Amino acid sequence: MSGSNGRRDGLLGGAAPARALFTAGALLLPAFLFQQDPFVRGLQILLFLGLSAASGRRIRILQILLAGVGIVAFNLVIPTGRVLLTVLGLPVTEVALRSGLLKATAVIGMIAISQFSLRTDLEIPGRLGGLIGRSLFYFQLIMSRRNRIDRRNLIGSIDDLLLDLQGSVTAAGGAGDRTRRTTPAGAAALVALVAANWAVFLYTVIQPYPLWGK
Amino acid sequence: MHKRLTIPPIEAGPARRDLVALLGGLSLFLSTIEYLIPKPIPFLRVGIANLPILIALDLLPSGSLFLVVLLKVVGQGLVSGTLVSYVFLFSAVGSFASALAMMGARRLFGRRMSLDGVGVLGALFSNTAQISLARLLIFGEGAWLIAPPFLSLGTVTAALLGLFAERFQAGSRWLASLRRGA
Repeated sequence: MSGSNGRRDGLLGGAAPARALFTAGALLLPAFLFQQDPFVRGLQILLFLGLSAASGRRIRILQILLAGVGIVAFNLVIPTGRVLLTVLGLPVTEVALRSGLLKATAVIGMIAISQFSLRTDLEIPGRLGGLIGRSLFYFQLIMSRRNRIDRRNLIGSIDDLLLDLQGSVTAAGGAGDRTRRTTPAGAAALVALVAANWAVFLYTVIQPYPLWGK
Repeated sequence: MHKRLTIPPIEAGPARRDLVALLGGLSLFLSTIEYLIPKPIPFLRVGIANLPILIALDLLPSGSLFLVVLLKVVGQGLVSGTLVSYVFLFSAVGSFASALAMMGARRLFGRRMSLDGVGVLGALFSNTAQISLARLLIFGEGAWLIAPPFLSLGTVTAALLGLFAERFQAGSRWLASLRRGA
């Protein structure tokens, strides 16, 4: 288990139990994913990355930038919309660019949200809840170890990864932390965080693309 | 009589629950990879997120397999931000149709039908269900215009994925360890 996955220290870790963080993350997801302005999404990502850092996670800026540029470039392959400029003879079209930016920010943002809102001691009530929580945590583990997947040895490297992961949640989750309570400051911070993101989202429903332009 | 599967499914309990969660997490990861691939048609998917379902066919009973499909569908909705849109409906209908067909074929023919064949059958069911839904909800009769490229591409990608799953199943140490524990 990588060190970053089980960390509970840091600003948020000390102020809120896993369930409160997960609830905040779940409430933030729609306000983030349904946001259609790539610039607003970019600002949200900066906030989420800051929260991840506050949770004791290591932020790899270069990796994030490379992933984002790659996704945008990949999406520009299919030209859609008016041509904004031409790079090396290839047209950069508006709709394809916006689609690429939305996809790139969605992936990076979801990773950032999951990094600060999912912890090993998370216990969602009910059998299906437990299964979803466990599945999301496995997703987080796979994402954190995705560099181990080797394109030249795809089958072998995925196999190694699965061997490594099988049972790791049980090993890591163990006792859980039912005694931890949300401090008043932690609760206020989480409520403010969710409310601010929803307020921005609702504003952009009324006033679409405030930063990108229509 | 057809040859029955020789691998016993993982017994109920924490080990099976953990396996379902792991396969769900893997589906979610593969959905993320899939999401990055640009698509000329909105509902078109390469289908790599189906790999865990193909692998699970011999490992899990029907109920648990459907749980993996549910985790995959919800995960895809979350990753692509389509959880409350018609795209999610298409994804859910296609995924469950495909899972039903693949499960039926595996239970009926056992290993006499390779995972290539099972995958292609699943893709045909999934794509047909989605085209029918598109005809009903969005495109009307015009939906059949997209059928030939949709079905052709789905068949090719499903065959490739089935081949990959077949190879994975043959050489996987992880699967071998699960079978030893079953």
